[in-house]
Amino acid sequence: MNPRDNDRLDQWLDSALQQYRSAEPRAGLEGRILANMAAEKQPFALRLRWGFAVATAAVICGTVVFWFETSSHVQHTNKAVAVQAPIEHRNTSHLSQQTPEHVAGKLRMKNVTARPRAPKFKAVDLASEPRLEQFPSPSPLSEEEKLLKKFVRNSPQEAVLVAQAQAERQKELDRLMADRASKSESDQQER
Amino acid sequence: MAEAVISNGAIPLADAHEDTLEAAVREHARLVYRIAYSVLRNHHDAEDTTQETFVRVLQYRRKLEGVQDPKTWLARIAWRVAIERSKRRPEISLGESEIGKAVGELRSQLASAEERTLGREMTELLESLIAALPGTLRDAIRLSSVEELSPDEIAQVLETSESSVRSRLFRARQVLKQKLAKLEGRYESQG
Repeated sequence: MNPRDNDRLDQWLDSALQQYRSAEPRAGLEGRILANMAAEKQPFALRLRWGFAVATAAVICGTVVFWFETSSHVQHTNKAVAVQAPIEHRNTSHLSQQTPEHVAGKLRMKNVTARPRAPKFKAVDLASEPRLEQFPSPSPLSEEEKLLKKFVRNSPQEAVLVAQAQAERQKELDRLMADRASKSESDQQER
Repeated sequence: MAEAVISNGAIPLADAHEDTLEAAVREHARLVYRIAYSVLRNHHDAEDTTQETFVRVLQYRRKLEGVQDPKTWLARIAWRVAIERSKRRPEISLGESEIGKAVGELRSQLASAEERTLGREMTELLESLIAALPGTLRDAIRLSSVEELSPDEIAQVLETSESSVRSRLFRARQVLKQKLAKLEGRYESQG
């Protein structure tokens, strides 16, 4: 490229770039931008409002649930205490007729039903109930049991004999009951 | 504090009051539009980019506290938005006949001393030549076509020094001239 051509191209390029840069927006650009921004702003404000409303509702629900759970737990604990007292009272009155295992089993069942169902407060319930050293809990012997114990200690051989005789009698009774049952079945079949 | 910043000529977009934001739109909308147009070379896309730029300003205004130079700050946002949009568009490609027509027009303009106006083909040829420049040179020459931006401001948008911008502009012009001379010579030999 000779210097003259270079100058010509330079001049032309200046002029071309001058025209290249002439870009005018359509009239009212600012108004359109502001309108668009206002339209964009409104959903943003609405979103904010909705977000705040949802968060508030969640907090209220959480508080209500927590309050409900706490109050029901207190009621259950009170109920458990109330149920336990009559059982203990009844327990002492019926000990003469029931074995300690039987009574302890009943007690366990009552306690299980009276315990609150919410697993959250299980630890609290266990802590509030008295912890026993032996399970099932030992209960004082009845008069009959005391006499039996004394008899076994004083004359163990006789006690063994009595126990054997008792066992044989029990066996005989069982056998008789079985015979009666088979007889009645055969009579029914014949009919 | 906001008032102090305004009195210094800066717009505190971080704590943007509606009026302040509106003032920014009114003051800089044309600049944003021209930056977008320099990249996209299409009025419709340039307007969309301008809208998007101001929507971003609206969304992130709280994060950007204490903007010292809102003009350059806006220019940088507009530049990025326009570059993002240009990546989604197909590149300009001129047909052989269009290039031939553009070069014929160029030769006639170079030969006469009359006032030069760029025709459609010439504009498209120039756009395709600029688009084919290396990235750093292309960015500099595109931003230099925005009247409102000084070399110092272009440097801030491109995050480089002013001298680097001047050097890039010089080299871009050299490359463009070489390409134009090459095209002219090729079509002259064909003619």
